[in-house]
Amino acid sequence: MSAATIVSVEDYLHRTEKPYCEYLDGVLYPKAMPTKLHALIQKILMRLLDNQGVESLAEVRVRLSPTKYLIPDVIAASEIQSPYPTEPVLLCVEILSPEDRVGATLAKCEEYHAWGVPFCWVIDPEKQTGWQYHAGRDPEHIARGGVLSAGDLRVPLAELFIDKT
Amino acid sequence: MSATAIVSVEDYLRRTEKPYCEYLDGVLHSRGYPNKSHALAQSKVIILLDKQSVEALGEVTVRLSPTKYLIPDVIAAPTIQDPYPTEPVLLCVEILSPEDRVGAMLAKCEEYHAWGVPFCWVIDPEKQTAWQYHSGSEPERIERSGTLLAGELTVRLEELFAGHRR
Repeated sequence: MSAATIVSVEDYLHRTEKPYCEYLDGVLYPKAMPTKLHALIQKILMRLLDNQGVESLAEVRVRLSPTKYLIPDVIAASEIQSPYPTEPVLLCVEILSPEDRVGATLAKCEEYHAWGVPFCWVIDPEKQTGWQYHAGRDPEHIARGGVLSAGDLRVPLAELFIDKT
Repeated sequence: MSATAIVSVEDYLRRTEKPYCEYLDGVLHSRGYPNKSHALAQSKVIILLDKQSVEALGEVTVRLSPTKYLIPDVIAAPTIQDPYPTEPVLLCVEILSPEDRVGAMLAKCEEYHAWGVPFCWVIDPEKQTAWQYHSGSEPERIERSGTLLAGELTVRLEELFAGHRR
């Protein structure tokens, strides 16, 4: 992430311009420009999660603290708070864009863990692999063909990348 | 890491107080407080690397850019620049303190990769496991029975943690 400008929380919350930005202590951090592949994986993932009886949504801001707002690529919970979650959700998912790095994204999962999120996934559409990183555990690499899990939720990578294999 | 103060690069470079701090764009970031298992792992990895014809040192400042200075727990290179490296070294090693998190350390490895360091290790003294993260590859978890690699350098975790109590 690279810093772009400095704004108040109020200005951040009224901001509608794209690209969407995350907010940390007065600084805006633009999210990576979305690509077709990123959007495709996001859509299939939400369908797979919705079929398992949870609510899943993309690009919803979450408030980790009064001065820290992040935007996971997908979140899932039995019910997602409106207008945006201020209490931890069940699952946060990040989908790597070409310019993203795994370590930095796993570090973002640690922000979600510290907030109270028990389950995080990092999906690499290019390699068709993933990472599951659950609170209190080490990150676990899920090879191509493996299954991502989060409590009772399961997503086989083969189903997620069905249009790409 | 947590921010503690704002200083100029010149003041940072003259600073001698502990704990040692890293420097990012005017902000000092204090490092985790070292404990015995951290210090044991640090001294052991230096000993094991020194036997392999590289120079290995602990707690040396490295300059990634004019406004970014980090302090890996251990660095290794055929020869380490004096007073501190301004060119990439061969290997950077981070050793987890209890308050450290793996992802944040792997992200730090990505800073070293971007600087030009080909090999990074993250060592977890509590779990007696480690991660090797080489530039252009994915992070790889190494179990206690495994061996850390960095080009021709190798460190067996059983040897590294021999005598450490879990």
